[in-house]
Amino acid sequence: MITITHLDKHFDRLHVLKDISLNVKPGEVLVLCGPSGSGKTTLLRTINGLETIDSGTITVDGETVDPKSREIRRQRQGIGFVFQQFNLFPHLSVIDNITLAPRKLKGLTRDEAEARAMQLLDRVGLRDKRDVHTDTLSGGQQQRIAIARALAMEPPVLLFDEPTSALDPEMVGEVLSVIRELAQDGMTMLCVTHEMGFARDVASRIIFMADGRIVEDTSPGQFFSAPESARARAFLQDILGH
Amino acid sequence: MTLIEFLSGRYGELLLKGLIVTLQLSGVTLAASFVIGVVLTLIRLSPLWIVQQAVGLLVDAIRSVPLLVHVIFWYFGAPELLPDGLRMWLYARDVNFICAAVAISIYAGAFISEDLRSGLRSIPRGQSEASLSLGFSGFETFRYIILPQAFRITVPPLLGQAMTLTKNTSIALMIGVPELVYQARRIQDITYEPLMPYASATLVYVVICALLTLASRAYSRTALSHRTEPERTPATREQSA
Repeated sequence: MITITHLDKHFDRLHVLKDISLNVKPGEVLVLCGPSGSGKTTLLRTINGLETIDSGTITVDGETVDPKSREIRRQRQGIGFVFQQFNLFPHLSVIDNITLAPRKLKGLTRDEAEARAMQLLDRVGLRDKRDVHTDTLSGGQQQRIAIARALAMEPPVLLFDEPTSALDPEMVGEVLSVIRELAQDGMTMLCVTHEMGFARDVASRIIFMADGRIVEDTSPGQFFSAPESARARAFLQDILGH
Repeated sequence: MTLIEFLSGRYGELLLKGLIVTLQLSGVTLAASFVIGVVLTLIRLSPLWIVQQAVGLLVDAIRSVPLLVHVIFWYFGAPELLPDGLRMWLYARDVNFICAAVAISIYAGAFISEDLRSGLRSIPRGQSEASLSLGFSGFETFRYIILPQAFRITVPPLLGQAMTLTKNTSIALMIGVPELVYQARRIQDITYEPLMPYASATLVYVVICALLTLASRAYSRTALSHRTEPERTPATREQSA
């Protein structure tokens, strides 16, 4: 579904992604983890062309993703992205946040788009928030709306960039449970997260990154019980050890 | 003579004429300066560095020169640079009014462009990224996401510019446009009495500005009231690279 080969990227002199190769099959849930600055978020952002790459290739559904090509707009419609800071549109109501893209980009009528948006609001448990303004919502609610907004374009792939890092602890669960349900429904997902419990339960594979490289690409069972690299052992110790 | 007596006579009529010219000049320049401001801002969004810099420099230059100098340039200098035919056409019309309108529009347009630009820049990058990630083009992102948000933020400063601009139209008296203060001065020349004419003119400006202030407050109360600071929680972590 997603194939990345020999990807390299620099931010000026900083080599942030080094010879990354990765293959994601339909229905797989990959959790990307690793220390800060390891390149996980940047890798995720290259997949839908929010970041350019220096060399290598990214293909999604057999098509090469290139942020400079004309095809990128259509391709992005098939690659949902959920941001750490939610990035809901504050000038629009909840329902308009969800229906704007399907109406303008897929040509759905307002009625069609709203009917589908209501199903999505049901799915994330926020049907009653249909007409409110987004900044009256809690962080957890905003992130669930952001997930609904991404789902409204019916993308075959969803990317999550630390979806719970900006949330108060008591709101993390409600967002993770939405993502869990998506995983059960067979959605192909890549998720950058520090929630190791969630990773253990939901991931089909764990991608551990450090210094711009993929250090381990393994099953959660293997990763949490017997990580191969010293970097991964140190990381797990830091994050779980206290 | 009371203010009422003063205003109900011939002088009131002169002041009314002046007020009409002031309102006409304000209206024309407000519309024109908004268009100029929008155009300058759009040009400044150009991806070409040299274009951004050139327009930025031009805007700074316009803002740095006193309005009076602008007015004098556009009245005494600029027409001489025009081809003969165009100059004749201009002099056949109300050249004072036109030159004043051009000068004030360009001057105010530069300030409005700064307001618009800071409005645009205040929209977080995450907004355009969210829009792009849904599949919107750069232009659609600007139109549906960035511009509506920037516009809401810019309305109060724009009303402030309207206020400044209305008062600034009084500078047109320097090139003989018979606006409000021009008429006040004329009355003073006749009556040798400065208080009544200037007090009346001042009162008019105060009323216009008070109305604009009320409009701005009402707008902030209704349209911007739901806006609060973006939620920052203790759990907010630095975004990893």
